[in-house]
Amino acid sequence: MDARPLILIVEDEREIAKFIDLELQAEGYATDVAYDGVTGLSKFREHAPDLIVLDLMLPVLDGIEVAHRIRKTSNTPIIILTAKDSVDDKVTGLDAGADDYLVKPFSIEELLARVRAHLRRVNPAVTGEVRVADLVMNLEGREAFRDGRRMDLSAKEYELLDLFARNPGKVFNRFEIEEKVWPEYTGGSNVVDVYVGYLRKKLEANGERRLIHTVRGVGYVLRED
Amino acid sequence: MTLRLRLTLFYAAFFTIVVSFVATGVYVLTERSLTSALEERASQALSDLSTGAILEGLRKLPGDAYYEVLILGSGDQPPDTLDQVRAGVPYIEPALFRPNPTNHSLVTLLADPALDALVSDGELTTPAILPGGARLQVLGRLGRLNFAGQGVTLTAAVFVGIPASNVTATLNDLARDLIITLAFAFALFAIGVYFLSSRVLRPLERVTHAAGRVTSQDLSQRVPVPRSDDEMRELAVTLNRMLDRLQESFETQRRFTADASHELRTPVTAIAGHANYLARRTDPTPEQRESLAVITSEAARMAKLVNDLLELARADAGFTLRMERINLVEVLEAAREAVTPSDDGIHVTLHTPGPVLEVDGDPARLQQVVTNLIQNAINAGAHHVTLTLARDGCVVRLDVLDDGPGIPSEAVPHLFERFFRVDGARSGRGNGSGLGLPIVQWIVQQHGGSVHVDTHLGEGACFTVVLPTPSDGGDSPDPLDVP
Repeated sequence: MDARPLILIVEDEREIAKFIDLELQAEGYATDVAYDGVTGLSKFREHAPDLIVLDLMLPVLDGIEVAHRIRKTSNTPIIILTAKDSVDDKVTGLDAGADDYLVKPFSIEELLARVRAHLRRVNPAVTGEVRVADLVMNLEGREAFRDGRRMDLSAKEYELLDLFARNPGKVFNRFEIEEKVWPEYTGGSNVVDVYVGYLRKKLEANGERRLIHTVRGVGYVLRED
Repeated sequence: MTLRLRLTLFYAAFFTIVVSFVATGVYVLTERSLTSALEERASQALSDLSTGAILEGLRKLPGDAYYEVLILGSGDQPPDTLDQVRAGVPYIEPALFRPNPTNHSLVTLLADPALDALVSDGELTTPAILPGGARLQVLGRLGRLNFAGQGVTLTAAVFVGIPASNVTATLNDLARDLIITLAFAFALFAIGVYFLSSRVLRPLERVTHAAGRVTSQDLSQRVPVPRSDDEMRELAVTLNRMLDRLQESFETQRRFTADASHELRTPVTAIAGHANYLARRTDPTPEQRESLAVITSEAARMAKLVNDLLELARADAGFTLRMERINLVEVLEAAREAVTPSDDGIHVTLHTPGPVLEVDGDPARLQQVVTNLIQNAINAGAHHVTLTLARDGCVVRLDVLDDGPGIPSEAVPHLFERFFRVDGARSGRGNGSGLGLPIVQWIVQQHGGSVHVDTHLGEGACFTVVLPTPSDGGDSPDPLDVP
């Protein structure tokens, strides 16, 4: 039995499937390639891969439908690749059950980082991540997931959330936070309050429970209620 | 001169000419009828003279008529020559003599042919002019004076002058009235035509207005088609048909750009991916590595061009951005980081009023604005780019100042045109596609802002982006949630 994680690539453009295949093999993954949706689905059922890289525009059965059917029976991470990049397409893809989304032309390093992040997410034994409640911080890829949903964070938002997530239950006052996240600016602004607002909006986008709480007269704390 | 004014003047002038003809006709006919009425009365009176009832005849004359009776001889021998008439002696008797104001005998006013007619026919009718210039109508008759008591009969010539002053005054009044009426009619007609023509031209104005709203960005506007079945309707229908075709061809072009760039994405991704794989995962010789680097960078350039084209095709399709509350300071920092590492010897300095300055916007798109502006400066040959962010009243200003060669003034109006590239120094290091600034302009306009440039050749350039601040001012979190 092969101990390497198996990644299924479903992509009808053979030239693209080829280099993704080569890169993933070079990274030490086992790979399997399908050139249309139906083959992809049957290979998924046959081999039970650990992760799927799925193109959206496929002959026979399109990527959205493939993601939808896989999601009915499995939690296997799905990363969608596509040349479409309008917001609606993105939403449709994520709604169908995809975990992540990359737009062509993408950089292979980005794809590899996402693959690593999602494999780690399903395999908690791997280090390089911080977990608090349903929040997962992927330290290498500088990504954050809440309840499996990847949040689109700016650099400062990530740094701030990282500070909270590494110290759950610790109350930070504004000055401490500013010193750590905005060392280039001297106090006197409400940047911390503004960014806590941004983070809450993204953390609670699906109506999840509050993670970052206000401690009146002191500052902010990340804790699970 | 507007069509409306021209129409008004043209119709009013035509109307005036027609009415002037009518007025002149009225004037001439009135003059004739007045004159002949006078003559009629006079000759009616004078018809009695020849029958001898001179006194009764003279009494019937109008009160303002002059008359004189010349005694030509005794008996009832009529005169043979006009000299006989001229030699006649006036009978100075109040009943038979009413001199005209200048005291000239009427006979002296008459020309020979007129007197000849009197001699030969026994009567004359002729116009005459008094030395003062007053016009009169002179009638003459030959007749007899019977002095019944003495049994004497005298041959006489009776002359009656009817002054035309009456007629002249009436005609002058008429002329004045006609002119005044004409002037009023002209004014009324002009006003009427002016308003009527505005009614007629209103559909045309609507057409013009609607046509003015049609731009290359919005070809969906159509001209309203009037209900009336006339030339206006035909114009509107023709214009709309033209707009349909125009929109269709714009749409075809846009779709082609979108489809073409979309189709190009896959091969570009494959080329870059494979070149990248060879460079990273194999052990190429330095020459091969160099060649692979060229493939990679050209593929990256092509990918950018394809993305830019797609972005503009999307802009033409009326794509709108998704706005959220963002910190512009971080957008600038991210843009600076995205550009600087790859360009040695390039310094990008950032001045902001603090760590937060909020706007409502699309962070990725706004970062693209800043990246494009910085890249634009670097492509032009700048080594130092200064970004200055400031709140300026109810707007946010971003100045992107470079120390490059500046932009020639004749190029400035074209800077935001697609595929426009400044010749010479500005494109010396250029690998720009000429799409960067149009995209900047589109994104900024989508945010309700504006972008303009201030530059002098040899002194660098300063691009200024102005964005509106959020309606609630921004930068202020929920006060209840602040510790």
